[in-house]
Amino acid sequence: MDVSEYRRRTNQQVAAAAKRTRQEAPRNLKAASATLERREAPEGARIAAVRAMGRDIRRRPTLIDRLIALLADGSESAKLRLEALDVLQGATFLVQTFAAKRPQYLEALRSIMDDPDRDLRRRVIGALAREKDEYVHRRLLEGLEKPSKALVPPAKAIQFLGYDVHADYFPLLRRIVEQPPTASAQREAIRVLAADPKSRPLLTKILGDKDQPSGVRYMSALALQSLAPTQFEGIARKIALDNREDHRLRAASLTALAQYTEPQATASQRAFTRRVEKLGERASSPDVKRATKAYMARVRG
Amino acid sequence: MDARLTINGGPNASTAYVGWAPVPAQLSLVDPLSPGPVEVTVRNQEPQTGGRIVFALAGSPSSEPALPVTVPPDGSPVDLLIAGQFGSPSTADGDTAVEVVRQATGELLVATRLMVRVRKDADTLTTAERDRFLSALAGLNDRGMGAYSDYPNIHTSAGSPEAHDNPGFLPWHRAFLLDLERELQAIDPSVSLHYWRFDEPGPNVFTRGFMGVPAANGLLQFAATNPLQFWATASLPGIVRRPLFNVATEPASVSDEATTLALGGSGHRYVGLRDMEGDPHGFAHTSFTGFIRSIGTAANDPLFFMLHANADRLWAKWQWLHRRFDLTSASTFTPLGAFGSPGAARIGHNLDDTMWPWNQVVGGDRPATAPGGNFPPSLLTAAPGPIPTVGALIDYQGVRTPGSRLGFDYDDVPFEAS
Repeated sequence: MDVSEYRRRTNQQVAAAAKRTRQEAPRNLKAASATLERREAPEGARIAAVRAMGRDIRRRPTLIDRLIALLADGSESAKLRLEALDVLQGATFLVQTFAAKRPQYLEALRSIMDDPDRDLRRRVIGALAREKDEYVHRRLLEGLEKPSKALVPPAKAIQFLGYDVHADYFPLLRRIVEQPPTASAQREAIRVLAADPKSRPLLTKILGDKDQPSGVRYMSALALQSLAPTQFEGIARKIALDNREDHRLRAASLTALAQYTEPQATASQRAFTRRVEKLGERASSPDVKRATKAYMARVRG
Repeated sequence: MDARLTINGGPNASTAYVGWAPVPAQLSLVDPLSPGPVEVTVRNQEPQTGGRIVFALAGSPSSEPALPVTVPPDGSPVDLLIAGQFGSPSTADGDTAVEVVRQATGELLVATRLMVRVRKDADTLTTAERDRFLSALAGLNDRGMGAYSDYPNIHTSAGSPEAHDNPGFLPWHRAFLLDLERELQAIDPSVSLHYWRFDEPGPNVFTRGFMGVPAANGLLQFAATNPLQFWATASLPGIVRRPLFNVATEPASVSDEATTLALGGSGHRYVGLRDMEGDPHGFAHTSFTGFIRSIGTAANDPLFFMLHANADRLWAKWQWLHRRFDLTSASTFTPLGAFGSPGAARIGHNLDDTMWPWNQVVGGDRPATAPGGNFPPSLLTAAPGPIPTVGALIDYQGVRTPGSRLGFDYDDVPFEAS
């Protein structure tokens, strides 16, 4: 490639962008602020205005106040408030600029946790959960105990609680695994129980139970893989070679063994590898075939 | 007659990696029988299907795909420079070779396999490149038990002031990326830290075979052979991420590349480029829900590193375009000097300051802990050293000071001598 020509072309593109920015910049923020304040302006224009304001936050931190007010304003459209939330969430990466506004921001988030708009509610709860906010955790637990008070579906509530795992959630999660309100809640509860050594027997039992749904057993495999890797290795070998087993589970077991074990390290591993090689010749599932091929590629280095 | 070609100071395959920035090489005769100097040509071995190499004599401004060299008969070395030919990277380890042939006879004196290893647009990787990258990432994570856990432990709210909203945002993250890349290369030296080009659609990136596709609740799903399915952080398996844009047809909601490269105004000053911390960087993070959206959880998602590799690429491209490698110029970086001098920024964000956590300084103005230890070394370069300063991350190609070369390049950012 001709680097001089490449430089010339890049310079041209950047000069055009700079011209565009210069033409727009002097009136950009002022126009954006004015557009946002005109409630009769088209929603798309007001959303673009919020984004334009977001670009200036580092230089004008007072814009954060306006965006927080917009986020908390239930009379504005959910789309506009979601845009304000995105821009504010981006501004949280500007830790120094945002520090003084942070309490106000978190308070605004808490104040709209019950907002009727599903997307806004979820994103707000997600933001608070990632901040390990104690109040949102309490509300999520309450919703799992009493479904009439649930802010989000149980699977999502468990996922949000997973941002700040506490041992005192585990008994509730084990109950959910055994008497799940939904299949996705069961899977999420299993995922979070990967942090609980006492749940190892439960996870082992579920993984071994062929009557459980495939996705539930798969999640148990992932949880056990993380919680008890050596134990999982033995189980994975059996699953991989069992042609009555679920295909997805077999393929995942082979992939885990290829990634995290030394297929030729011991006599028993070499024997297993020989059986995998034969498996590749007769497997009917494309996933198992692909996983076998990848395993053997790893063996051959 | 034989010859010896050492690259990057090493005689073996572990140092046989080059990018666009030239690396030192030495050519000498072994057991020479010739009474006088021997005329040889150093060139790409043909047929060449992988990366391509260019050569120069040390001190020469121009490089060529075939270089005539006069080698002394007494075994003393000739200093050369070797680099990848811009636009022709490798796709596999050792997929290119350098040969030295005697001009008079065409006799092959030595051949050495090399890789032109650069960070690439993740959307353009071959399947094999992608799979090696994923395997190295999954190996480093090791189901939540591997060394990867240091990275989320560094990129926390407590560590955040060391990395964000200050002039050192770009150098600090460059160091953070390079630290991870060196760990990946310790697992598989053919791997680079590839970037997610957030101002373009990523139809090949956001797939089950690569960075995953969200299920209804945002938990990512992966192909049966993708080892990222075993990813775990903070004791839990899985990654939560849902894009708020159509990944196959749209870019994230960020400014495009040319607009970012125009930051800094007509003077092309670093102080203006810093605006990229908000847009595109911050907006790229908030183009998703899930881990990557918040400081404290963002690095739990491996996409974090691909997003930041692109932010770093934009800085690198801006540096190349505006020739911003001179460490004495405030247009390259500001504030110059160290913490405490007039006009200085927060500690850790001035040119001469050391950076946490690699300096292992804790307490006072720094966070209470410093996970991960000193900066990992490389076989290819001594830079940036175990305790890097902000300034050590700037001239990453060794444009002004060859010794400051950090050992990485981007596929679309060439090396040009100052």
